[in-house]
Amino acid sequence: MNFREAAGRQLDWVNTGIEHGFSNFLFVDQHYRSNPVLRRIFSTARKHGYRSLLIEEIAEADCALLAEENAALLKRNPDFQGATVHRLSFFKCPCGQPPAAADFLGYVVFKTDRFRGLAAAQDYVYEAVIPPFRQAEQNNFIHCARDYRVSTSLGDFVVRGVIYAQQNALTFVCAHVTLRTALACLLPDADISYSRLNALVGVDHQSRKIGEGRGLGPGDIEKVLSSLGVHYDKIIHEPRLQLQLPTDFQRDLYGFIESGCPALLGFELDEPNPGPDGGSRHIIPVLGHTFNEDTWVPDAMRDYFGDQLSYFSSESWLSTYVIHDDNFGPYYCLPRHFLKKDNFRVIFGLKPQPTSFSAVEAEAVGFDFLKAVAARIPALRQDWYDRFAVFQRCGLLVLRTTLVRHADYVAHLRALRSWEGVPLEESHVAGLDKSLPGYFWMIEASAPELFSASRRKFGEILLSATAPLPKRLDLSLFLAARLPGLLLLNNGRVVVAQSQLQGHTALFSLT
Amino acid sequence: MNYATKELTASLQELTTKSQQPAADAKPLPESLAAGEFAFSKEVEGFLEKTQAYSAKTRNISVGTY
Repeated sequence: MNFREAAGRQLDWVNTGIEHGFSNFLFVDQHYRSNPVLRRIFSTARKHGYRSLLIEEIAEADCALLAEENAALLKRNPDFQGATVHRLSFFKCPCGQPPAAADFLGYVVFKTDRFRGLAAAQDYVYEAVIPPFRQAEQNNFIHCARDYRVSTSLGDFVVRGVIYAQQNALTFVCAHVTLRTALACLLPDADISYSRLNALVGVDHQSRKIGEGRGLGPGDIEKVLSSLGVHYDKIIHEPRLQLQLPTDFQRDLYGFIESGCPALLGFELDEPNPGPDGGSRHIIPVLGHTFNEDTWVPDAMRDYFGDQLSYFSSESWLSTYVIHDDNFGPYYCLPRHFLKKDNFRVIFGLKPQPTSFSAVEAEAVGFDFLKAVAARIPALRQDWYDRFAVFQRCGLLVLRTTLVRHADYVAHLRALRSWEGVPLEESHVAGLDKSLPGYFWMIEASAPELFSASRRKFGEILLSATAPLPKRLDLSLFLAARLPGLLLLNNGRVVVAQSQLQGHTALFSLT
Repeated sequence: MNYATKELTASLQELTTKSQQPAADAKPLPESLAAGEFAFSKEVEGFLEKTQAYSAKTRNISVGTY
C-alpha cells in the first residue's frame, strides 16, 4: 500500500481561489514551516488554476510504505520518534462541489520526521505528481510522463506527470530520488520504493549507511539498473583521472531524452574549499526539453564559433532541458550549456533496449549513408528530393536521431502525408513493417527552416541499433531510407524503389 | 553569407531554373546501390574510433558519490 492508494483522514478542504483571498505563501508559512519546495509546487498548482486543496493525514496503520519508511529511519537513527504525513490534493473546482475527473490537478505527500533531541522536525516532499504547466504547444516536450491513480476521500482520480521526490538525507539521498524518478518512467509499476533500491545496493542502515555526506557511487547506480533489467548507457567525464569525454555531453544527453527516455545527470559542485577529490556531487533526473524555433545558435555556431560539423544537429534548437531537482522542486528548465563540461561528471541514459552504439554515433553513420545516397542519386528532377541532395552537398542538412520502436514507426509511416495529401504507398509500409526489427535508430533529415518552423523533414534513414559498429562502413547497419520520391531497402544490396510521396512530411513525434 | 550558404543559394537557383526546362538531362534511377558505394568518411571514421575507445576505457570506472 503506497501513499497514493492509502486511505486518508480528511483534515480540511479549503478554497484556494484568488477570489477567496487564499495565499500560497501564508498557507505554507503557517502549516508547513515555509517549505520552499512546497511553495514551488503550490505555485505550479496556481498556474494550473487550482481552486481548492484537500488536506488528508495518512496514518502508518493505513500505509505499509509509511511503516516501512519509518522502520528504516528508526534503524538508521534510534532517535527517530515518528512522522506525520499529509497528502495534499489540488482541484480545479471549489470545495463543496463534487470534483469531476478533469478537476484533479495532482498531489503532494509531505512528510515530517521527528527526532529526539532535535528541536526542529525534518520536513520534505516525499513525493508529488503534478503535470508540467507548459506542454508541447508551448514547445515543452516531456515524453516519459506516466499516469498515477490517487484514492482520496473525494474519490479516485488520475494525474499524468513525472514523479518528483526529495531526499531525507538519512535513508535516501539525491541518487535515490533521481533513480526513483527515472525508473518510475520505465518500470511497469511506475514507481519503486527506497527500501528496494537500498536492498539492491546493500544499504541496510547499519553495516552500510547513507546520508550525512555518504551517497551512492556510479557503480551502485549501475547495480540498481542492471538488477532491474533496465538498459542504459554510462557516459563519464573525470578530468582528475585524465578521462576527458571526447564529445559534447549535451548531445549525448539529448539523444536519450529525444528517444523518450529519462537520464540521470551527475555533476560536481563549485565549492570554495573542495577536498582532494573535488567538490561534492549532485545528481538530477532529466525528463525532457524545450525547443526554440528562432534560436541563433545553429548558424552562429558554424559561422562564428568554428563548429566543424557538416550538418546541423537538431539538438542545436534545444533551448533548455526539463529537470527535477530534489533541492528546489519539479519541472525546472536547465538552459543548454549552463552546466559546463568542467562540472559535468556522469550521465546514465536509460533505454528501452540495449544498443551497440550511441545516438551521436548513429547520427554520424547516418550522415555518411545520406552522403553516399546523394552522391549516387544527385537529382531526380523532383523538387524536394533535389533540395535534399543540395542541402546534403552543402553540408546544411538538419539531422535528428532517435531510438524508435517498430510499431511507432509504422504508425508514423501510415500517418505521413505530403502537403498535397499524398500518403506513402501501403505496399512500401507493408514492406518496412515486415522487415524492420523491434527497435532501431532513425536519423531524420531536414532543412533548417523546414525543421524549425514547419516541423517537417525530407525523410529518414533507419539503422540497426544492435549490430556492432563496423570498422569500415558497410551495409550491416543499413535497414532502409525514405526520401522524397524514394524508398531504399537493404536486401543484401540496397534496392531502390520509387514512391508517389515526393514532398516533405511531418517529423516523428512521441507526443 | 558563408561559403556553404552561398553554395546552397546558387544550387537552389540552379534547381529552380532546371525545373522550368524539359527533363532531358535526367539520369535514370539506379535499381540498386552496391555495398561498395558506401564508405565512411575519414572524419566519421576518426570520430567513431575515438568515441568507441573512450567508451571501452571508461566502462568500469566508478568515481565519487551522489
